Amino acid sequence: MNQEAQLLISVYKAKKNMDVADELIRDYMPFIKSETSKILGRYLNDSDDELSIAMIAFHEAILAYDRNKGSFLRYVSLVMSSRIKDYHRKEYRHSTVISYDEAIDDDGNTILDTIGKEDEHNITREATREEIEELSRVLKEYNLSFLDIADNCPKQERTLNACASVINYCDNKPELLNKLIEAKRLPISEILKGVKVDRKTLERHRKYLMAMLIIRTNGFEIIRGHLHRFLKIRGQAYEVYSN
Amino acid sequence: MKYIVIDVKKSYAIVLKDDGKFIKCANMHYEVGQEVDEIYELKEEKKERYVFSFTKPFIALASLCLIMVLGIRLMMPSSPYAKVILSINPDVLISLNENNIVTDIKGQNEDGEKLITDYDYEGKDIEVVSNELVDRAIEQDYLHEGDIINIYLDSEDEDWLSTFNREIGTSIKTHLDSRISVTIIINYDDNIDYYSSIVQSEIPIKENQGSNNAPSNNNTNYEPVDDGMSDYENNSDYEEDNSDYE
Repeated sequence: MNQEAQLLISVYKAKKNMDVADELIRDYMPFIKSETSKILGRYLNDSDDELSIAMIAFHEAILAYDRNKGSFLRYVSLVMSSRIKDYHRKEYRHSTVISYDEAIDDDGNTILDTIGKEDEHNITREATREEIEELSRVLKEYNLSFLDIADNCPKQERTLNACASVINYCDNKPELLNKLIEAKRLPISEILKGVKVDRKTLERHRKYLMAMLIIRTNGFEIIRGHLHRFLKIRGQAYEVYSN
Repeated sequence: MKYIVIDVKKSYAIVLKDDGKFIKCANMHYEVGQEVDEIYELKEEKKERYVFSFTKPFIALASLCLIMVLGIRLMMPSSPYAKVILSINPDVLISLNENNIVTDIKGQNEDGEKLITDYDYEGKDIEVVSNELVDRAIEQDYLHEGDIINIYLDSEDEDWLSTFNREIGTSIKTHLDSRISVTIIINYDDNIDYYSSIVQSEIPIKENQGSNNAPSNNNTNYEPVDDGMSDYENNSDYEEDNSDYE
């Protein structure tokens, strides 16, 4: 089987799973680097942001590709080029030169003031990372990965609001959370008794909901705090809408 | 800050946005636990996902594929758009608006272009257009007795997906009843899974199109046939449920 055919098979497998795509991208790093270099007209460092953009563009190319688009590698080059140009346009819009003494927020803090705060951020980041690692471990018990959850996450605003409503409902019901933990399954029938949401929504976004409910259990205070507004605002939006 | 970095891989990262979304994005040298304000999100343009090309190897017969994509532009919730891809071996991309009116059609290959040459879709409903294109496919000898019609629905609007799949399946089946016997497979791809329901035309009249020798036990049940091929764990799709959210 020739190389082009081999590649196409890999591409089609990669369409279904982003981690498979990640492996394919690792294999094609030399190609990606050389193409990106050509696009930029200069040598590339591993630390260049454009490389990150090129890789995500490769993912997009994998998802969008079909035979009608011609050679896969040519198609990838086009997508990478387009994405990198996009990135430059946006970056140049934001980039301005500012002085250390310029105020950067409403309290009149300057950049100099924030330098000392880096340590604080690092401590928070470390604590957050530990929570996330714990979450990852717990999710494995449910046979879930973060990629599973990202894939299962609702995209539509209305559905997200419905999910927030479900999570709010389960919040004060330890018996429901316990059911989830014991059976490792979403207690759909029980949820339907208390929330006016479509059964299909619960089934379609099962993995996402399980993850969000697990986050409501102990040990994930930082992540919960991060999502606090989400639950309040979206949950309310849904309840208003559904009444 | 808006996003917490949840997972990093070589070529992408996953972040959790403070509005509850898990998002796949470029890994800009992130560390897990880091908070960021801006990301470069992976763009999954569903209209570009020609899912029919996966299933082609499994379709031995000439088949008619309709891929219907309803995409909602989140910036302008009042003007969503939709796309349909009709593929026999011809591939045709059809665009719809929120009222299921066709706004554009494009042949995706040579046969597709032939199929739609001189076809006027202006202002017509998608069901009308689908039926008319199916008729054209029969006339132009692309679709025959015993063939398969594949319909792919792709949308961010889950409510549309769940109602439209039945509408279109029923519509085409009814249109073809007592004319030609084909299998209609409707797929919709919410994430990367498939949901299939099969509506089977039941009247195998071949020779006499338009004549009246349909058997007297004409099946007028328009419900999808539950033949166990749904991907759902329980076929709640077939329950009678008339709440606002079905």
